[in-house]
Amino acid sequence: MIRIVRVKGDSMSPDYRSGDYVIVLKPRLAALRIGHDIVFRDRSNGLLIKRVSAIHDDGIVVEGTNTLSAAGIHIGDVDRRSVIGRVIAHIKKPGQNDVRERA
Amino acid sequence: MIHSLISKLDSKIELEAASAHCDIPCKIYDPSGAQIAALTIVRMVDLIAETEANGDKNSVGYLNSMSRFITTKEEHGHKCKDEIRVIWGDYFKAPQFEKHPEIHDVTHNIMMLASKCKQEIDRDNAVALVEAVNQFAEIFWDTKDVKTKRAVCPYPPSLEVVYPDL
Repeated sequence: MIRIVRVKGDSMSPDYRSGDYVIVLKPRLAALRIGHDIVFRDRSNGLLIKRVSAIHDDGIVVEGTNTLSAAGIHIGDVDRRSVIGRVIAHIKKPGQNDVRERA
Repeated sequence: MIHSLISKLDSKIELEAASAHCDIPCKIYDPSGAQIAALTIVRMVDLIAETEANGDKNSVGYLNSMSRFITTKEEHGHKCKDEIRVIWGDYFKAPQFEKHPEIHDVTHNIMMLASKCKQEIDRDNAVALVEAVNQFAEIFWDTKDVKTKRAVCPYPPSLEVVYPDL
């Protein structure tokens, strides 16, 4: 199943910035690889987008890609069943590198 | 163009948003950054007025000073909005909103005033921004059961600022 999701926040900056959109595809679980970006549902934090940094039997380890964002130690292992999809397309917000706001 | 189309779709059906927020809930929130940014805007407006009154408008030095003041005013308007947005968006949750439902209006007022301060050179707007951020700070500290006091900041522009009374 394909879904379009809006990105909120900057922990994946500069790869993804707030206001970008991603198209995600429900992955066959075996298809997930380290380095893939995934959208998943976290019990405490709702829908999150992060990068897969490790995969093991207990789940998936994720991290943000912003250098100010530490590893996903507080999120813990992501249950494979909570993965909404793998990012297959990224639609960047236009002009985001030039002017962040007009007013 | 694709972004624009999806954005229009988003405004109609409200797509789900995935947070790419900080992984560490550090719990470090403090409105002092916004307060200093607002004070800086007042200071820049004052320096712009002083320089306009006394400077040689044809000199390179005048242009250099003016452009620096205006740039700093712009940056701090943006910073003020950013700092407030993060506290309002990340720190405030249902219990804080229930205790202080007026925080939404206070926050929105700060957004509007900070934008006006960026667009114009009006000291009244800048002073109003300082006061609006003070109101935000009072509410913020109250949610933490921290008493506040008001005192004139010991540096220009010497305006009244809300401080936590620790």
